[in-house]
Amino acid sequence: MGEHAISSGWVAPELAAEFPGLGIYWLTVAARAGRTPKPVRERMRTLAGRITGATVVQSRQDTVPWSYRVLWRRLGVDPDTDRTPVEELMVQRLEHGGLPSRGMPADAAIVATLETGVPVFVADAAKLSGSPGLRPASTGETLGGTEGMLRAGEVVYADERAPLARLDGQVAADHGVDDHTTAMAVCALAAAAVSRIEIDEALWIAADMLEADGRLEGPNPGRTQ
Amino acid sequence: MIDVLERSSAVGQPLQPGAAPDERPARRALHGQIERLERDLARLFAASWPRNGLEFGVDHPSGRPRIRDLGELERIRDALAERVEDARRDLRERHAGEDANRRLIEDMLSHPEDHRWVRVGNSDIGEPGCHHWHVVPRWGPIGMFANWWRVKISSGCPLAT
Repeated sequence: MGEHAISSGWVAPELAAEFPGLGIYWLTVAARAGRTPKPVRERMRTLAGRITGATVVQSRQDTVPWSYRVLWRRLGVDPDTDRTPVEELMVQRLEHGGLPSRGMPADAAIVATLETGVPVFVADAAKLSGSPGLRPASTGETLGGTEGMLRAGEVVYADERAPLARLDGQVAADHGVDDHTTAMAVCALAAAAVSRIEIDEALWIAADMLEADGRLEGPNPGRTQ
Repeated sequence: MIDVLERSSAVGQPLQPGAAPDERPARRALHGQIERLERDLARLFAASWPRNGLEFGVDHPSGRPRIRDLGELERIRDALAERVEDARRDLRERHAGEDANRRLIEDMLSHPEDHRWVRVGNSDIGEPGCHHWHVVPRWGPIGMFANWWRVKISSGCPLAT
């Protein structure tokens, strides 16, 4: 674990001034989309078994999930209505009684997010123009061209050309992983009070799971969803 | 509330005519207050477990994530402060009721005849689970006529069907 080089993305100056500690960290990993390997599914099952109503309630006091709630609140998002990624996953687990597999790389991001509380998402590294960052959207920008019009000023993940994903982790279709992907950019959102160790751990967890299967050696096994 | 409403008292240079005021200190103060209030709310939320019916939703519409102006930050802070105060008061009232119910259980156990048919559940004392204490007559109608009462303690939650 931890052999991947982690890079720091950029943050627009107005965001950096307003939210000290806000950042994006990322790494690239050679991997393909596909069926989730059995060890990862096992890990998800174990993880799901650890998440109970009581742990979800208590997690709000933990530094990492709490930091993202504070960030959401400061950005004018009610974290009880539009939940932070980790809380959304925990609530989904309680509602569905488990963590259904969504294939790779989604499952790797889910495990990394739930294990650390740090929001993680995955994009196609080959579709990135420059490094990813955080900035307010401009007037008329959309997420992926045709879908989801972004509001002017909405804080989004972006590369140096276009918006890449919403803050809740919804990746633009033109940046998403597909059957032709051979390298993935694993990105993690940093907030004030979240230590660099936690960010690195989240990225390593996801990257290790994506790499573990040696997917590039064989044919693409196809996705489960 | 006093600590919530504290503000930085740093006095800057006199504002030049036509110059926009520096909002940064006020914004920092508001961000700090939102952070403190969110922590207070998280603690109250955790402390309320496993009670039902307490409200923790903040009365401020959720929007797209963006840098908020001072007025919006103040409204978020005010809504949070109001919710924290309400939740604190509601929880305090619940605790008072639960303390009274605990004393009632003790009294039921000591003097069941004074609390005929009274039933107190775990939820009435802020505990998880389905146990309840129920004052019932010993040997049914015989106990009722003879004034023999006892506290029956349930064995837990019913099995799922």
